[in-house]
Amino acid sequence: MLQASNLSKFYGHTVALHPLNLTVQRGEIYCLLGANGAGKTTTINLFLNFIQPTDGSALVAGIDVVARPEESKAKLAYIPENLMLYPNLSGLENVDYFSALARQRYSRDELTAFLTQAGLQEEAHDKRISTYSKGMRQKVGIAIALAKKAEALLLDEPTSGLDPKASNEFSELLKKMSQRGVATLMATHDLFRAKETGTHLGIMKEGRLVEQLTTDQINHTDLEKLYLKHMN
Amino acid sequence: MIRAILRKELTENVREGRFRVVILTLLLVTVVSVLVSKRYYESVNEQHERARANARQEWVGQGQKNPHSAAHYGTYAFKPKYPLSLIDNGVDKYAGVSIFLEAHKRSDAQYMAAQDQTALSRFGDLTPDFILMFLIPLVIILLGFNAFTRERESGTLRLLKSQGVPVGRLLLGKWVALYLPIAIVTLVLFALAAILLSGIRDYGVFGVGAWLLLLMVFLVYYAVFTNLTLLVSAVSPRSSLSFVALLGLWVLSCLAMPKASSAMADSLFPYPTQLEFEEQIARDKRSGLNGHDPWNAAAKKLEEETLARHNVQTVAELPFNWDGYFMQQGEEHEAEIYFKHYQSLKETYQNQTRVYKTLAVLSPFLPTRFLSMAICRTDYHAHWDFADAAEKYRLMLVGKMNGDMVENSKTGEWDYLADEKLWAAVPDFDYQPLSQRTVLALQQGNLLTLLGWWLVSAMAVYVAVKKMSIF
Amino acid sequence: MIKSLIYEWKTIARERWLSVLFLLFFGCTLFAVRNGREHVGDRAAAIDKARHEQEVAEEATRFEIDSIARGLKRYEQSWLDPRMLSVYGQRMGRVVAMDPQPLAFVSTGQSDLFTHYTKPKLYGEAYALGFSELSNPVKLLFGSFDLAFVCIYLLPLLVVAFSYNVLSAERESGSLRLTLAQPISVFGWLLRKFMVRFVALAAVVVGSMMLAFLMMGLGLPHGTVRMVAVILSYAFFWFALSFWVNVTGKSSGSNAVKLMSAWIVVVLLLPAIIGQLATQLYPVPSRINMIHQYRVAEAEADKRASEILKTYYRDHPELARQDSSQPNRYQFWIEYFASIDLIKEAVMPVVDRYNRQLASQQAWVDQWRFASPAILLQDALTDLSGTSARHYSDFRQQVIAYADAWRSYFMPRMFRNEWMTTEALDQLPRHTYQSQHVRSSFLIDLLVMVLAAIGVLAAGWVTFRRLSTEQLLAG
Repeated sequence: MLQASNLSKFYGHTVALHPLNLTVQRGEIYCLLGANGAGKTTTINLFLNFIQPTDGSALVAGIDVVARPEESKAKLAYIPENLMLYPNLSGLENVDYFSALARQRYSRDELTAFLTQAGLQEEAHDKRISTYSKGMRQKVGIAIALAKKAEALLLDEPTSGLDPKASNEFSELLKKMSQRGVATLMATHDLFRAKETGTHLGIMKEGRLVEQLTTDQINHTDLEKLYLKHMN
Repeated sequence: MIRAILRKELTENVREGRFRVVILTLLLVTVVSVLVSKRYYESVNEQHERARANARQEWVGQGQKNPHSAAHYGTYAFKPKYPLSLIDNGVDKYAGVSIFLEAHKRSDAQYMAAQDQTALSRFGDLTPDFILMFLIPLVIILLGFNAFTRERESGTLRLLKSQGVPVGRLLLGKWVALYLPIAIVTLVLFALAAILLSGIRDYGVFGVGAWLLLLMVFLVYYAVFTNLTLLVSAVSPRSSLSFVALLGLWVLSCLAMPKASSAMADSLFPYPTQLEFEEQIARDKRSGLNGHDPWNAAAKKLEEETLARHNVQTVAELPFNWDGYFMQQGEEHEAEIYFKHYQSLKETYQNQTRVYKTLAVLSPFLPTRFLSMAICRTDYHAHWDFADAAEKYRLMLVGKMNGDMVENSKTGEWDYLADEKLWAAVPDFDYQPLSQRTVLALQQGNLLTLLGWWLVSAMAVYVAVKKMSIF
Repeated sequence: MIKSLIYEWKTIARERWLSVLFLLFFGCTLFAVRNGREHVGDRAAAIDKARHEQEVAEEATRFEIDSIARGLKRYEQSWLDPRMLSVYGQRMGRVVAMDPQPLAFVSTGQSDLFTHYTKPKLYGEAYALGFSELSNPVKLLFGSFDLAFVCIYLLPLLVVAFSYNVLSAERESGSLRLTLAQPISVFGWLLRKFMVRFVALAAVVVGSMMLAFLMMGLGLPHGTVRMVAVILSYAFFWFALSFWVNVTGKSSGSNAVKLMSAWIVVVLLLPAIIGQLATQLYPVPSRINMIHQYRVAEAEADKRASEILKTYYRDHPELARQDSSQPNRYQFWIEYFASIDLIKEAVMPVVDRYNRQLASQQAWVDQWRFASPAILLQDALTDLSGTSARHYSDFRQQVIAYADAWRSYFMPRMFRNEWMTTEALDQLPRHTYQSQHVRSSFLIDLLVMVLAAIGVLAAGWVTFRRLSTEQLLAG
């Protein structure tokens, strides 16, 4: 569903991303680990066509993101690290608005259903975003993704700054979505969450994907050791 | 500590492209405007000098004439340009420059420069006063709108507070960093003006006192705007909001308030139209004593009284030229009519001035504008003073002409001619601009208003910074 | 699509400070219209009063002439006798007035500088008239708080406040990343956001004006549609500029400073510089010098009065009287009329040079007005209001023409040594103000303004095309 082949990004002589080959199938949750500046966000930005690749290609459901950006984006949902929405609109209105941008039409009941599915308590639906906590905003992000009927999900450190309970809820939501066949690519620092939620793991260092494995191959302690080994 | 704050603020400013561009542009525009203004000043003065010489020559060289005809022929009074008008041209563009002086008629100043310009001139000219009054406050806003909001947005304000910086010093550092470049530009402008003024031919008294006073007025004006800018920046949650609010403040105080106060002044105390005014005077003249109307009742009374006083039967027997005497009496009576009407016009103007002065409380621009014009002797009051002096001169001139006729000719002797000796005996019109003390006394209210603005804004900004939220 | 427009509208509507700004704008509009109405009302009332007084005076004089003709009344002094052509021609005069146009209240223009009615007399030259009006020069200096001021100066600021951060705010709050992840054309999305704002502002502007007109009892005067069109195209220009600045992809603060600088340049500096250059390049000769020439010529003519008159009769034999048994009672005037041409000859070079320079100034300004939409709007609004410099110079010509007609009426009769009669009164020349022939620049102004806006929009599009998504997101 998500496929990078020889995808690379240079800024002059600085290499942000060495040629990267990576595939995320339907139902998989691929977690990218690595230090700040390792190239995780660059990878996600390339899939979103936010930046132009220097070489190689990124495909979403077989669609080249550079050649046909609008079609590829129709299949994608994205939740940035700090999801900011329109503070003057309510949660429900935000979902409605972004769905409209994605050319989807929903009734009020359907919108409510998405928000409820995303775990946002009913009484908050009509409150303005400016009154929401970060966890609530991330839930609205999930609702937007649900409403979009996205086939691929791109997440950039979605759980940083969330309390453990909110973080756990978020992971559960991701699992539910992957069960429906959504392919997820997530950049994260949280080894524990990655092991718990993800199906595949990749460790990045200085723009290179240095390790790829599935979560069932490794336990927590070994993952931490492996990670620290690469970092040093 | 204060030096460290100041150094940091100035370094930050200088490293920012916006600051350099704005200050350099401002300096350039300032220099250009002063040079253009100097050219204008010189050419106007040259014209005036020539016109004055011409008028005098016409008067003295008018040949042999009956003195009363000479009074009819008349001459012109020209308003001299005060040296500091180089900096602030005030209302000069909208007030006439010359007054025709003749027997029986008080004229208004004619030919305002604005009528000889295109409609574009109503946008304002690129003169030093335009820069001083409008642009520099705008530059203060442009440079200082995010003085505090920038620190709040980037989070450094939190850090500053955690270092325990006393509020007063933080404010002082930012204040000086914002004010210093502005003060320097102002000083450059004033120094340039002083150099140019001492370099070109001197047409009037260029007093250091007036120059210094004007400089002080503008420095206080900028201090007010610096205070207001920092005040708004301190209470605004975001830079953009601070910017919009400050801009609104500028538009309100520099553009909207002056225009609104004019509208109010004019609405409360309207002027008559030119023709209305003239016809009112004509009506009074008709029903009053008229020099050419000896059958008028009042004139008749005057004749009878004079005859009785000198104990003669007819005017021809009088020991002086009755015609001359009679016309002089008529002139004096008309002068009273003029005085009455111009006095009521003056009252209207003074009432309007009071409205302006009251509304000056609402905008720091207004007191500064009036002070600046007054110090440069280009305000409306200076114009009135000139017009009054010209009227006084006119009465003196006509009086002298009629007086000569009374003494040196007999009644009915209309072919009596005077010559150049008499014309030359009339002193040239020499107008002395208002003294510094008079100006200061008149402008006391505006001076106090401006200082009040300074004081209140300074206190407000101190309190605001003290209570400033770090979020 | 419609939904996204609705949400766009909702986010705008929920900004409280915007409604405060709009309310402020309405307040300004109302105040401006009130001032304009008062100004025009005073003008019309003064003209009406003058006309009425003229009618009364003419009626009284007609009655008097009639009484004298029937021997019921007599005047001992000829300089008071209204049957004397000179007395009538010098004392009565007729009002030559410039009646206000329906939209005169919109723009004060030059109307505070010049008088709107005058009474040309036999003596004195109309071309030397000052046409000045009594007013406080401080008021002239400060300018009027009229609708033109509100539109030229304040409207762009409203547009800027309303749109400077359309894109940058989204980036700064972070929602731009989410929006860009949607399958949309970003340019179209941004353009839509601007369109919504433009329509909202247009509604506020037009609504404020119409409400102010109605509240002031002005109705919808002829030309309102054209006025609204040009004002909205000016607002459109500022939106286009704001759009361009937005797509350069800088921060809100940077956008605000850029747009404000543009405002300073377009509204404050360019008009001042162009105006300054006009007076520098084409300085008008000193009016004082004109007076000097006039007086010299007049004094010369005075000295040679009889000689001039002789030459004059030679040139105008038709004016010579057949019956010369009685002295002409208008001897002074006849000499004066004879000298007019001579004086005119001496003064005309100065007057011509003066007019030429003024025309050059105007031509320069006309040509350079395209440099700033603010000048275009001023030109268009004064044009609609009938208060432009062109209108006043045309009125001056009308006064001069009427003064000539007035004099031509009296002159031959005075040479013939006639009296004023009641029949002759009906043939006195009349003046009706006409402004149709004043060249209107409105359509060109409007067209250029719209073209300029489209040009700026296109420039925005080019800038946007060169901008990568990366730069758009990074700011």
